[in-house]
Amino acid sequence: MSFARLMAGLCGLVAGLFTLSLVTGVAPVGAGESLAALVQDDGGPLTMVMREIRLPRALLAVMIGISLGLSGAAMQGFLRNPLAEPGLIGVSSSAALGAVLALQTGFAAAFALALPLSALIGATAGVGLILFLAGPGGGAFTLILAGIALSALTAALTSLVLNLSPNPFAANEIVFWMMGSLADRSFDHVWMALPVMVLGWIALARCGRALEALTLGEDAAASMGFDLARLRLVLVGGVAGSVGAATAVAGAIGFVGLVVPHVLRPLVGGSPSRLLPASALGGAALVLAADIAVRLVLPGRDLKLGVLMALVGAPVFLHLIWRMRGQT
Amino acid sequence: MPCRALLVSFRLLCAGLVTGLSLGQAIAQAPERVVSINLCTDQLAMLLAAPGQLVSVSNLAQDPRSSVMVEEARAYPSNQALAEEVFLLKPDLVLAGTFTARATVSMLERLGIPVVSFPPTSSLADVRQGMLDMGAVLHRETAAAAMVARFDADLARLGQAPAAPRPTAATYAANGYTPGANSLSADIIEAAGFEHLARALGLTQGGFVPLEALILAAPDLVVLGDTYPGNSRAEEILSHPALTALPGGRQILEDRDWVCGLPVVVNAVARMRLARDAIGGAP
Amino acid sequence: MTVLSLENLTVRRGPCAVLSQVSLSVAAGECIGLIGPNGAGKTTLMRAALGLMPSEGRSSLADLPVHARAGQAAWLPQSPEIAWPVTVEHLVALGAMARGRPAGHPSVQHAIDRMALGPFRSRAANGLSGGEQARVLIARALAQDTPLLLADEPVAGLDPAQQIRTMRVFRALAAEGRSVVVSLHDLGLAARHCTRIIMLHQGGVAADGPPAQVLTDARMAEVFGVSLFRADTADGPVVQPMATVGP
Repeated sequence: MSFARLMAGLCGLVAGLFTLSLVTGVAPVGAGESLAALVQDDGGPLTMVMREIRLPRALLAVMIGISLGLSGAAMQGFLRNPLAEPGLIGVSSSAALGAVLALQTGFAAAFALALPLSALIGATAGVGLILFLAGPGGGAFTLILAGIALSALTAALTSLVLNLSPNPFAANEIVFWMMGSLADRSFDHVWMALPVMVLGWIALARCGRALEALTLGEDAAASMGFDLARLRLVLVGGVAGSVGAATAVAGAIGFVGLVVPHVLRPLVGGSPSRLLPASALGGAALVLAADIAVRLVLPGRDLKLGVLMALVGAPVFLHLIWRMRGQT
Repeated sequence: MPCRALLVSFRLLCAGLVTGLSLGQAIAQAPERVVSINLCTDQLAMLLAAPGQLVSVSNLAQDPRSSVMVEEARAYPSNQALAEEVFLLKPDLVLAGTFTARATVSMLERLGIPVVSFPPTSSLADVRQGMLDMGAVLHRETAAAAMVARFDADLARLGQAPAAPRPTAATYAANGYTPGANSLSADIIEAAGFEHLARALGLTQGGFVPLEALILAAPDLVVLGDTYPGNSRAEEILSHPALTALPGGRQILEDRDWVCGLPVVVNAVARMRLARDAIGGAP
Repeated sequence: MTVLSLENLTVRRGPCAVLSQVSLSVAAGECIGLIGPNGAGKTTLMRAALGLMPSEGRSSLADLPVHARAGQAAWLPQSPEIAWPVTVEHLVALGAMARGRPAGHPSVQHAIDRMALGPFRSRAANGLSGGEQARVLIARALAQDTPLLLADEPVAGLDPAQQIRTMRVFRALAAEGRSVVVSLHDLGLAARHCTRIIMLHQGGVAADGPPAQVLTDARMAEVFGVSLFRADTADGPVVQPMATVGP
């Protein structure tokens, strides 16, 4: 499949799912009426619902999908490992720790965006720590080790907070937040996350050529004029910004960064630089689809986005591994 | 398209600000369409609201394990506590708990709907205050005052608990959690004439009590909650042999009466008083 | 014109010097064979010259800013790595990408033709045999179109015909005015195809000059611990280690 056709197909898929997301909800109106209310202010509650509840939700699904897909493709390209995913550098768990602390201390109730802001601060602290741990140089190995250490540390601290929580209500809220959800996110969340995410996307998009060179290994890539230390810095910053903001807004959503690049790689002929935009769109499509599914599958129960993603992602991943087994 | 959304959001934001500033005046009129999205506010509102004032309660109010007003709740349309659904009910007031999802509460406020959040009840005094607060919010102060008066009378009818020596009682829940001395459970137990173990152990806030500590303290009564259907590892500790072998005995007394700060708390105190009388004084 | 000059290049690992005070210069049009026993420092010398590892002393290549190095020298590391299932054509084009050139640049096609990869161009590179992969990687370095090519044991995995063809490609590059430095173990190939041989021994230069001058019996015994069989044929000298000497 040519790259242009793939991108066109993915764009169409994202556009279709975006529209579907906009017309999914509890309001007992048809799709046409919903979309009309979105575009034209009908003066009634439906327009408010469309513009204030469903539109930011769909936009956030796209933004988060782009962030996770792009970060996953970049991580896999940098580490030259198809099992790499954005969580490896510990950013999502640091963001989760920030949010958990805010929920536990009650800071989350201080003002509307206190919770996502705390998560973002957690992510920033995590990035600083991992760059410090990994040391100078561009080695992938030290980065992975530092990421594992950071993930372990933040997961332990999060468990500690839950363990010592005197308040079962707070503990409950923490657990549910960590399962990941886009329910009732507003444009406040969109505007908070977007600048950070866009900076992350720009940083990651610029890694394309270096990732291509890395196909030949670190030595060859360095000799081809690419500063690997700087690449690592830009990559970590890009992943931290995009995934940190995504986790801050929606909680922990896994598997997208792992599965999407994996699935799309054969369709881009293995090219790491082409995989970046393809995974961005693929991620957006996947998160949109999952967010539609949580509203349709068990409407009476509050099925969390992260849970559904894991339920879908794990078997897909197992299937991929099974197929790989057959080939080697 | 994004420009228009931006403009609309900006207009809404201003509208929201204006609404917020005049919340005082807005609340000056009695709310006519109230939606509750929290289990405890559901029930309190059902007790105090004027006919037709309460428009919807959360689906948790129909859960017989935690709600004391399941039948009454069925008379109201139920909601899933999500903003879209609530907004389409066109409420002029939403009742929530302080631990209701932040995003949902923020979204409703952003859409221009006043939300009043009630904290969880942590003492018998809170129960009275909760009723008065709900009465104020719903502009049903007289009904609230009458309810408080009935509550006080019912408590008084139980009589004063016999003074010292007081037997000890501990509440024990899944995962070894015990509510602290500053909790509704503690107040209920103490009003019934027990010494609450948490206070003896110095636990003001709730927390984990190791089973060993509980056994060594040898409370005269261990109060356990009704377990949920199905098995859970967390609840296994409640049927631990050491616990069942306690001389003081254990009773499943804690139930839905204890969850929210409602007038039926009196029933809980009454049952605990019976248990206390059965035990007699401390050995 | 000098394409590479090293002055007192030293690389330490801990207390020992893996490479010690190496000074040499490479002029345009040279095809240099870098030989030496295992551990002599051949790979270290090339990597330090490229600036890929910390070193003391001067390397004209390492002095260039990172992004400019790709235009001056192409590096072919010893262990081949092809991380993704890209096509041969895509991989060779990475050489042009390093120079900021599009994938359709003539240097790419030229490199594919030179290494006889035409029939493979659309196949996945990591689905080829080891020898074919090695040729693909060499083609990438050729596509980079640089005055200098440094290759670490590029012919080790190739069959005899491919070995000869590849060495001829290197020699032809030199004839065109470029420079090639290849490290290899096959002394015969070095003698037949290289214009100059640099022999390393324990981190230093033991000999540096035309093959006949460097590959003497005495030196072979001292540095490699082997005795040679020599012959002259129409296709060039035969230099074959036959037996070990010494302890």
